[in-house]
Amino acid sequence: MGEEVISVKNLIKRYKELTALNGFSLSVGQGEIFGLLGPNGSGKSTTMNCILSLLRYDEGEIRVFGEKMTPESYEIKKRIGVVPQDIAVFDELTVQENIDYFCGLYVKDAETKKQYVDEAIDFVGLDAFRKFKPGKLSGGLKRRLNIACGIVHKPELIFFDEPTVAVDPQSRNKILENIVDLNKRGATIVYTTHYMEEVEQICTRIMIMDKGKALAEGTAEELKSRIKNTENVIVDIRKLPAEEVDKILKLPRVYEVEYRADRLTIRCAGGKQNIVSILDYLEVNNLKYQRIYSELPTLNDVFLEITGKELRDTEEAPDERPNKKKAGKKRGKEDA
Amino acid sequence: MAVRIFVTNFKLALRNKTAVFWTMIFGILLGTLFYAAFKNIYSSQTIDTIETALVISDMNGYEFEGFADMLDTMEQDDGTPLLHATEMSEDAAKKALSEGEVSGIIYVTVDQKKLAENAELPPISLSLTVRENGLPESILTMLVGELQAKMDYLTELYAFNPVHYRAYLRQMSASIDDVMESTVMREAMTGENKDPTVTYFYNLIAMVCLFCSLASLQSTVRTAANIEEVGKRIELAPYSKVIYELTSVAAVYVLQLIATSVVLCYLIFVLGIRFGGSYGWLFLITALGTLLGVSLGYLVAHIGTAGYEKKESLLTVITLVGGFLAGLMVHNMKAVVEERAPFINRINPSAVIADAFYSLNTYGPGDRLIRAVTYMVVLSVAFLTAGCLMGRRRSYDSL
Repeated sequence: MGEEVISVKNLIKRYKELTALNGFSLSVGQGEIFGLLGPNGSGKSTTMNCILSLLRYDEGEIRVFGEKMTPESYEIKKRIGVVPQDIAVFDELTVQENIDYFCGLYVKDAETKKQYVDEAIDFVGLDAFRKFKPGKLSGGLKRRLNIACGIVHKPELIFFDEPTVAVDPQSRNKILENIVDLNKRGATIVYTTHYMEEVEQICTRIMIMDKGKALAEGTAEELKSRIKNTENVIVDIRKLPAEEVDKILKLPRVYEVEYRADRLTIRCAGGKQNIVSILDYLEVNNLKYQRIYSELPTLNDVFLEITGKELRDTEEAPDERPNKKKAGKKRGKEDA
Repeated sequence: MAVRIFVTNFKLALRNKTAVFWTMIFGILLGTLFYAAFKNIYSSQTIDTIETALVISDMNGYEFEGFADMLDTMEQDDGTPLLHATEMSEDAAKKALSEGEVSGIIYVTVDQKKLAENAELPPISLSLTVRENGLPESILTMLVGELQAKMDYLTELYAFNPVHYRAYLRQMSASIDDVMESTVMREAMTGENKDPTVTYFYNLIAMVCLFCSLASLQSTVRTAANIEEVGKRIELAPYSKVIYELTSVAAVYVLQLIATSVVLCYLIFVLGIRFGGSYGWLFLITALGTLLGVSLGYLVAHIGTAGYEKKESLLTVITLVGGFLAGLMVHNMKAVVEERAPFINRINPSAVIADAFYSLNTYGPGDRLIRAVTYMVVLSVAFLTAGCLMGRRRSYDSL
């Protein structure tokens, strides 16, 4: 980790009876893309807003660029860019006017400002939409405008708060590319999301949080190496009887089996290449399947092992919960 | 930096069609409707002499002679007497009114309650009874209101500097002439403008000024991170939020001032409404009324943590209830409030604006008008200061 850019120590933030952040600490170094991963309501945005001094907090200490962050820390604020979760632009202004206006809050020199605005428009690929008002843009283009307004003044530290929510895959990829590009140009990035794939894709260091607490921290590989899951074997198979699920759970190295929507997910520990033994079992027992493949563990598996729930659980409808069985637990108990 | 914020916020305000509509289109439309409704009144060049009964009673021995003669001296352009007042008993007056021989009864009495407070002064109380609604009745209503206002004014003056009662009466007699020369009555009676409805247009301008508050509310709410997402960017900018807000409110003010001035010009130059007082004073009061409206919106934007819709509702309630209490909707309501809860008239922006117009209309440039105008400035500054104090904190309990 490079020179410390953000330091948060023992942060406590309460909303009346609810404790949103409970002794939360983190440290972000210069040049990092720091991913803050957690389900909805885990405290990611609260953390970000406290760091930015938008939210008051009850206890703890926050330092940015080595200085205490307060609402009046204008010198620090000059070096920060923010891309909020929702689109934060003026609907009455065009794309160019919006970017120009927010740049103008930081950059005084007219020539420099013009250059920065052109660069930001070019950077997010909105050159053809300069004269468009936000209402005429698609969701993905609005997101790009949101990003342009946050990074136009070339900040050293940029906060992205779930910038890809409700964005099409093409725009999403463009946004992620932009973030990596900004980092390569020297910006330190703090990226909050509940999409583990994005974090794995771009972040150099990740903190997993839930219920206002940091659960684990490290690179994606470090986090995955800390869990017992070494491989997931996925089998697309129709109408698998419950007793077969129980039998598969007793196979060597299998410690958890989940059957949902005609998909069997078998979690294995203690090495890879478990697919062979599972294939043998399916053929011996004459179980017809459509497809079988193997996956390495993801951050979702890390989160699952730490919290007992999946990152995506918070977004699921109750009737979509899987039939999940674990070795060593009472059979038939749903553990979703 | 401030110039850039000003220009952009001016552009934002200009493109905010709702706020511009409420200020300008509302004023122009309603002004046109008023004009259309009162057109018949404008078109009447000369009216018949209004037969009026005069009932003088309970004078506590004070002399009050010649009042009827004074009323009879008022003439229209062509020399036609405006009124013919006949002093009679109350019963005879009521009979004459019921039989249509007179258009109204003017009662003249001494206000016993006020007299008890200061026996040196005979506070004259005028009241009017009419049978139906029409132009003669409107003129009578206006006349009695004007006379009463003059008399109250004189009473106030003498309360500070008591002199002999006869001197007071002489002054009061002179005030009858003043009334004839005063703005509304002069226009209504001497023929320059037969418009007895100019008060409605003053009230309209006052309402237009108050509608300016919506634009400043909208502009200010946008800077709050707990209400508008774009507010987060503004809160995070390396710039004083108070200065930002005041600069954007200044931009809104300039635009709204243009809008209210357009409405005023439309009323004066297109519809030909002849307001009392000079244009300079008229535009000054309108400008200060706009400032008061904008300041009110700025203050409401900082009250509580509710969203824009709730604050807009609060502002609507404040302007409508304030307008009602200031008599913009119901005649004489302001006087009722002044008698029972004068404090409300001091803090009610509608009442403060209406009072300035009333002072210009009734008394013309003078101490009272200066006082009313000064009060508009003081209240505007108070609203802006309170808004600044409430809005200067830039951290929130929740977003």
